[in-house]
Amino acid sequence: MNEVCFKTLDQKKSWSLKTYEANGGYSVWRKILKGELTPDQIIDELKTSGLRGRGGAGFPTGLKWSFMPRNADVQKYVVCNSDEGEPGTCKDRDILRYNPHSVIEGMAIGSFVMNATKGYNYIRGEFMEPFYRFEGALKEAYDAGLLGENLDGSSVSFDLYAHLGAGAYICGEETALLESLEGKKGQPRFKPPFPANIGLFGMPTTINNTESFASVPEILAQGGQWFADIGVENSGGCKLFSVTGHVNEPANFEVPMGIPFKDLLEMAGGIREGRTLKAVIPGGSSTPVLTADAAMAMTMDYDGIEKAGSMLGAGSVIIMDDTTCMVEALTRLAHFYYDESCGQCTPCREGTGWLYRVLKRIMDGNGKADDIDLLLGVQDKIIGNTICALGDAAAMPVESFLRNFRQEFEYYIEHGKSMVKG
Amino acid sequence: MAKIEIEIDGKLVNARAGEMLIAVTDRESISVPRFCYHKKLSISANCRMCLVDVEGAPKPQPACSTPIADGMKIHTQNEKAKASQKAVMEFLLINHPLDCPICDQGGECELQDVAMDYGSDVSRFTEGKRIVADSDIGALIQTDMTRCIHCTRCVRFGAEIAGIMEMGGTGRGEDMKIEPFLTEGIQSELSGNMIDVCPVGALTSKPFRYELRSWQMNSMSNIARHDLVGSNIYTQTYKGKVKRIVARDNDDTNETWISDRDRFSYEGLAHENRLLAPQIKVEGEWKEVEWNVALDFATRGLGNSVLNNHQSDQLGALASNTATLEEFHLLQKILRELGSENIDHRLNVKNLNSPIALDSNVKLVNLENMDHALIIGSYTRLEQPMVNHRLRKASLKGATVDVINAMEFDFNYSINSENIIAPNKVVATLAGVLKVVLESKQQELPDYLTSVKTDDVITELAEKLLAEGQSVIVLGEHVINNDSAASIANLITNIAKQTKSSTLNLSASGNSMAANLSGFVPGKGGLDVNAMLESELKAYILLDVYPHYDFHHSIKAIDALNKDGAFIISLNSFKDKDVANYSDVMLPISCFYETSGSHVNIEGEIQSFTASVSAPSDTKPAWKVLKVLADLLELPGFHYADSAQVTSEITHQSHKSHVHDENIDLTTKQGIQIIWQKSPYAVDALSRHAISLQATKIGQMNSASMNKATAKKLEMTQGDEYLGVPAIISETVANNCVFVNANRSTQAGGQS
Amino acid sequence: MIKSIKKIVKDFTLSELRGGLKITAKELINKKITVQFPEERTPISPRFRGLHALRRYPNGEERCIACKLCEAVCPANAITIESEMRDDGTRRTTQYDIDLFKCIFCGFCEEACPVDAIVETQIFEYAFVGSRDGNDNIKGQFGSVITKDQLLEVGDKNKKMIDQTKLEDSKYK
Repeated sequence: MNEVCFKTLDQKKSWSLKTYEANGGYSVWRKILKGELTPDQIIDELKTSGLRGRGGAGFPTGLKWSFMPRNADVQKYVVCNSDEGEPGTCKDRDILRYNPHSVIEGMAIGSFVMNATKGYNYIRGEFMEPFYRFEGALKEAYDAGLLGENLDGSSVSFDLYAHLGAGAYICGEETALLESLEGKKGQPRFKPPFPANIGLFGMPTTINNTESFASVPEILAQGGQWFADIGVENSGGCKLFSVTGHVNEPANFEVPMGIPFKDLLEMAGGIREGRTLKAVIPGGSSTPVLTADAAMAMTMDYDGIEKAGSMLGAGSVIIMDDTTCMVEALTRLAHFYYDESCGQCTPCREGTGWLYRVLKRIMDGNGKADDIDLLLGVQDKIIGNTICALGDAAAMPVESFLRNFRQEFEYYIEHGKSMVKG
Repeated sequence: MAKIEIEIDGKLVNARAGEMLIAVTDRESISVPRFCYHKKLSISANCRMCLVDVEGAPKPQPACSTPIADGMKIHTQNEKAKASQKAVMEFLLINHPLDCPICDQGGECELQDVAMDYGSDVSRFTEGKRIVADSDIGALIQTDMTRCIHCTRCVRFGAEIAGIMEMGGTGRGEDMKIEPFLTEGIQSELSGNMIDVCPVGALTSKPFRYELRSWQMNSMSNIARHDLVGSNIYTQTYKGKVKRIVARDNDDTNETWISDRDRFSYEGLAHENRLLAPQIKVEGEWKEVEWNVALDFATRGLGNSVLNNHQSDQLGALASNTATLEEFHLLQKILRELGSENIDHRLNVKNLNSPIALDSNVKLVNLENMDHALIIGSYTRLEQPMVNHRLRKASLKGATVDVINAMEFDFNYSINSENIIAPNKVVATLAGVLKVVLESKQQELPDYLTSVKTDDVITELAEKLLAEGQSVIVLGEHVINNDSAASIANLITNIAKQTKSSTLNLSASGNSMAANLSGFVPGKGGLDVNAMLESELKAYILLDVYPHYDFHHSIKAIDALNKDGAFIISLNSFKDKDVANYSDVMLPISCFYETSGSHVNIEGEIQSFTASVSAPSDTKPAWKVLKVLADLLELPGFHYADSAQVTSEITHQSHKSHVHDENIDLTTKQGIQIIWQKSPYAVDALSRHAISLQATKIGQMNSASMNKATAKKLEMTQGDEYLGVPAIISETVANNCVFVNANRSTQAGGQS
Repeated sequence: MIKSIKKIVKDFTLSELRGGLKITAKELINKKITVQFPEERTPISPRFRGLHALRRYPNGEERCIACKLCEAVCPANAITIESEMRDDGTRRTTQYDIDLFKCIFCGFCEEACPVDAIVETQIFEYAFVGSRDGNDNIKGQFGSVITKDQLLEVGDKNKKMIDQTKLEDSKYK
């Protein structure tokens, strides 16, 4: 536990440069500055480690970095996505608070691999404390000569800037993040072209999640195989899980991939006194909800969760006990997506509002017998038809809630009140 | 680009790699529904209506933003594609008000059309629909934003074509609103195109509001004659009246866009101020008479005043620049048959002894491929909007644009160096440029250049022209009354020759190219307009002349025409107090779109058009009036059955281009210089009578701008009347210079 | 041969005449179907398409919004509409004429109307007074071209009847 991103967590002033360096921090970066590591070596090591993007999509990081046109004669950028807005997720916040230097070093290594000399860390607008913590770490790194131009007399340069967002969930989508970073309205771009070719300011750009970047230095320090061995097949290393909801001790846990859900639940102190587990959303609000049985049998890795019928996503585990009204829970989620849709493309702009209004109507006791079919029909029409994944994210919970807990919805529609709460 | 083959709906199709799928389907006439895609705007892929099934892709792909690759297999009509298209259609319609019966777009609405194919009969949406408050965005565009489907075509039009982002999407999600950022409303000179690009009834024409349904009108091709481009348009008519004008595609001239002046000037046709019946002046009183009486009166008058005494050199003909090619031709032919060479259309030029002689030798489409442009004396954006549009495109492609003007203007592209200098310094600057150019080519300097001073700015202007790539020098209207106008034109010719630049002469607008083509200028021994007015001719034929607006010095001109003894035949389409004062006969002629004829654009392209509507009341097309007048005067060679015969007679003549004298004079007058420019919506009688155009900010432009120092010399303060126009003190004007933009008749016109 | 014998027998027994008289006799006893118009009237179907009328909303606002769909659908080109924006910003007709000589009473206008403004009533006894434009001196009468005001007046006067017939017919729509 706590071997990679949270390595310094139990130490005094874990966020300081001193602590970080005492734990072997910046050793990889210094090696690079001495010319002892080549980009290809780093990419190979990352490929071996099995590190997959920690933001939700799970794309292998080593592969992603190898796509960048490293030798193109233009300014390239490396961008860190710290716009952590998914309901249930709070891991990046704690990385920025307690171990910001791992992100800085990870980004610096990334910039070297992709020959990008400029980087931005886009931090969620509400994260004031993490932002100042990160800014402080940046200053320390600059003062220590770890960032800047021609570092240590080498030809390596890297300038890193922190940018505070303005509080839009959609800006966590990588292309919307780029738009926002460029000073425009945060709306996703259509793909292709992908950011690796046309990204920030029209230049090749790599965007990774905070946790992905933070994992890189330790992987390179200890070797890819070491990291891969921590986890299970196809899910290398360890992962931060934010366990929230009806547990006794909600917290972030950095644990090896493949850990049984049961164990994770125990770490979080188990379900609250006298209640039983009802449902679990294993990867953040946009991943499908699972019933208690499915969850208890699942292991926490990409394949394990997929087998159970959901997705690892960003590793935010939302625990719901038997006092939870699923109609209310889904209505709350639907309202979130209705509120956060950027309004750019039709299915999401109109569909999220439609879903929310139907659910709201059911909550108000005005549900109609065919509303469930209507909800299923509408979510089906959103999925796959939008520019970015927000449409899918809004639709998927609707489908899974209705599939797994249909009788609760039917009860609510028929009786005009909650089956659970009465 | 590499040719590749793809399969669409089972049909093999050739295409170029990297093309967007929708471009291919459009070319192959395979219908793919769309709202946000527009061939002249950037891709935004936000409506999702064009989703199609691409084999191998897990999700349906938008045709507008899917670049094609070799061997791609696409299904536009299979179940998967149809399901996605129908899904999007349902989402578009849930918050659309479906108020088609009262919507002006009804019948020509893209949403309506597509809904016929992809919509469902019964809505499943039972919640409340979204309502959006409208904002008043000016006199030309009516908004009903509840109907908006957020395709952002208008936003992209503003940002990409008009060059001013006036509309934008505010808010997010369902609350996203398309609205102007500013409260002043839409100010662009191309704003009306937003009506054309809007696929629904959110943006419609305000003057046309609720008048007619689209299916009630006939669409006729026509040409707008307000500027040197001759934008291609459709006049939409109902019961013999022009009710609306929309753009007609022609990539050689106006692409898909037209200026607001071209679009909304038609309103003037129905103005109460139209001259509708022939009138003759008997003992100082105007009398409405039949045409034959009026024409008899006119011919007798001509006979008595000049012809019978063999004084045909005492007859003059003047025409405004809005006449058609055929009208110019017939009027000059009458004069020449009668033995007079006193013919002129350059009414607003002060000095015609040495007129501007500069050829235009660049195609409009090539303008956008220029690498550099030098604009001299023009605010092209408002004066020649479609020429400016091409220059803007060039600028966006990376061209540099330099400007020599007397005032800072709000160009809608970036200007490399903006040189604000008084008119009397233009000639010296250009001479400096020529000097640098010649020196760089190590050529011998002509005498007049030896003492010319150059500086960094001049050197930079010259270097830009000398640099690699194509460049164009644009001469604008502000120069026509410059004391050194002819020298400026000759210097430009020389500079262009040395730097292999193209030239574009925008100094005379409207249909002036037609006047030149038909030889509507004084011949050998003939008098120009200023000489005619000074020598007090005994008879005139005036074609659509409005002295307050058209003459360089309106007071002098009106005085001259009012002198006793002159017999004046006026052909006008609108009533005018001064025309009534000095004329003896007033013949009502048809206006734009009511007559057949031709426009000659800056490329020399003759664009002919037929009448869209018949002339109202007792008015007649001017070419017919002139033909009958010629018949009554018993002149030979006027047997025309239609205006096309006149046109072919002109095209079979040979024409001389400008006569260049190489004379360059660098001496200039000192003192305060005036540039008198009609405001853009006051250039001709028709636009002056278009009420909605006049209500816009551009239509209201009426000011004499000067800087503080000049104002002090003239003892002016802000708001004082200067030559009948309110003064504005602004440091954007060159010193010792007053820039006048007048939109109404003043008693002073162009005096200096 | 047998045919001609049969015919002779038929002719001599007056069987056809008797057949005819039988109907007469039956009808003498049966209930009469002739009605004494105008004192008596036959029932009229709620779908009867008689004289046109323009309807109003209960608050007195005219229904017609000048969408001109009736004008477009009219197979006889009998309808002429001119429209404008009224001062309150709504779309209204300035002219709504139906040429009753041209009209073929097909009812398409009623079908096309999105706001149920133009309807065909059960009125069929009417006369044109004067020529085309009617005679202003006779109140409530119209010429062969019925105007907007006159159509509205027909609607106002017969509101009850129109509402009733439309209600009856609504079941079958």
